[in-house]
Amino acid sequence: MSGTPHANENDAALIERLLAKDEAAFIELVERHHTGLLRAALTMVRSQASAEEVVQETWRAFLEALSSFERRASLKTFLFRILANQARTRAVRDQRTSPMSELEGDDESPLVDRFGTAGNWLAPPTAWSAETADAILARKQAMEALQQAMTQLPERQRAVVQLRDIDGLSAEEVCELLDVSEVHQRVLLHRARTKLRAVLEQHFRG
Amino acid sequence: MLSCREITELVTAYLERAMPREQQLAFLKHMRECRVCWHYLRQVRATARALGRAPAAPPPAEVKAALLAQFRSWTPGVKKE
Ligand SMILES: [Zn+2]
Repeated sequence: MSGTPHANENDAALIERLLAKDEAAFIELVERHHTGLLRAALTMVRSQASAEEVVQETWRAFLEALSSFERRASLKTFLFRILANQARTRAVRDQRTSPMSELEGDDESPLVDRFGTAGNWLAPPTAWSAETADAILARKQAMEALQQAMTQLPERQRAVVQLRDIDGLSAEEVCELLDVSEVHQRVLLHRARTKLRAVLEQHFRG
Repeated sequence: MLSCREITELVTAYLERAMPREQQLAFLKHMRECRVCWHYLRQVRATARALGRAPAAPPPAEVKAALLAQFRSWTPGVKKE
């Protein structure tokens, strides 16, 4: 999933079509964002059922707010912002005071044993048989391992990598959505990516 | 001189362009001189990009139908210009 961080002409055209009640435009938007919204919601609330409700509420709230959308942000940002609000409301109702308040246990870096005392590599990573996204995408087993590893990440790391790397939101947007500082956001992203890379290492070790 | 361990800790800051200029120069210098860390950086970047390009499963037909019904009953408000 990709997108530009700011409002663009496609968004403007799409909004005009939505306001004219163009069903194809709505379906286009749903196909583009529903799955991403659902995955993001899953990082913010407890259950699949809650996440599905939150996303449905998000679409409803999105339509209600659309005519007052100010177009400073992209539609995508607008949608995810609504989602975060809905998820917060839902988390409170589910008596989960902050959707991201749980402690992060067991968070050792996968690189912990791989350096000497001078910070030199003891067990250096070797070149992979391929080091491009295309090559990784082409390897079904590797992608499955990656998806599986995502589910094993501590909650906040999973949320950040989901929103940043999968949904393509900006660092700034993710800080706002998850209410974390810029530095913390980057630490969470870093830890998540470090682990996910280590998972792929098993598949591509040269 | 940054150690290889330090480099691996700075990879995300580098990719996010969230590094002071001086540190960035030291980072790039290390990359020119150390093949291992150069591969490491490429691997992290490829991992992140692969995540973003994995095709998302389309929403199920019944979900689309329910949302479409919601859309049909929606009345756009008065537009603020
Ligand atoms: Zn190095």
